[in-house]
Amino acid sequence: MEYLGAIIDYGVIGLLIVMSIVAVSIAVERHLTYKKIKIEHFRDRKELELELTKKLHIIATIGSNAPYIGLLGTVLGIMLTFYSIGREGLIDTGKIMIGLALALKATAVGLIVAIPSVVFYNFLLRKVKVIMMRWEIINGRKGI
Amino acid sequence: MNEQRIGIVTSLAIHASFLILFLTIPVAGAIPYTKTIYISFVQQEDLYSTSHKEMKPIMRSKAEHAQSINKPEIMEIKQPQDEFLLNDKPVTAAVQRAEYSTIAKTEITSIGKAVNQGVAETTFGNSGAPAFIHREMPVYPLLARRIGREGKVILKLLLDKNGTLQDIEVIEASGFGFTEAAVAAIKKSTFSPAHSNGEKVPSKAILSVRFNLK
Repeated sequence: MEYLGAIIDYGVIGLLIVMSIVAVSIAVERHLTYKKIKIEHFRDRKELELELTKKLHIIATIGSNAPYIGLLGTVLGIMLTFYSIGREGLIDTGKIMIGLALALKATAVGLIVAIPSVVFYNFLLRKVKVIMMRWEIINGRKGI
Repeated sequence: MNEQRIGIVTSLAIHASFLILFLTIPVAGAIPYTKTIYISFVQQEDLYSTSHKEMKPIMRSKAEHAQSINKPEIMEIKQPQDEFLLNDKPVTAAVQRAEYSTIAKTEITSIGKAVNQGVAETTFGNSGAPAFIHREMPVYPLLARRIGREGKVILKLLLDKNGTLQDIEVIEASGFGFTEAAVAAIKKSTFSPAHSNGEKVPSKAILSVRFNLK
């Protein structure tokens, strides 16, 4: 059963770390793109919107799903703890508590990944809106 | 495309710095752990009470009688390298102390022999029982040490008549790696065989390993 514990630990937490890296890199990339973008080059509003909202869904997905993945890791960890208790038949409270406490770290990592992702998503969404409004101010509402 | 590259590099840098920060937090220093470790090899009279219930009162009185004659020997081993690994502060070297009693209980040996013909069943410390030639000290498990857990492991060693270890049977296991530590130490130790009437005999010997923090 040790390998299952390792899979839960390294698999879930590794997946969450990869998700976090992806989310942050997309957020940085989007931020730089918004800084450089020239709204005069876009004649169509939809074209601009398409360019601005590219990849944003990835951040949104990571922000909403990271807690669930963390929770999954916790549930598997608790399952494993109870299984090993049942198999060994021990009534050592300390061991149970340590197993449960270590299982909860997956949820903690999930939340640590999710909170900045949601913040980035809202921040970028606001920027998209601002750029769209600037385009509308320049071009009127003819593109709609 | 350039932004994408910058984004990936920045993200990796942020995560790497967080990981380094997280890993360098001195966890060992944050948890106060005790300085002295006691690992004792003592014989366990209660063991007989579980396997041979009717003999319990005899064993007790013998053991008490023997205890009053012989004092347990105490062996101290300093483990500075262990301390260095665990704690940055150059304080109080970890003292690992092994306690084992050499108590003569010839009657028990003979009773044990009757149960298992051919193989003498005995306990470490008895006369005629196997003894350590080289005693490897068990390593106190790191996790148990950090969270301050103590434990007791009871093993039954099967030795042939040359004193070579044939088999280890765990009679009472303990969590937190105590069992593994005890078994690993026993595997590295060497023993002298049991004696019966001046002859070397194969034996089953019970050894109790106690891990204590003081």
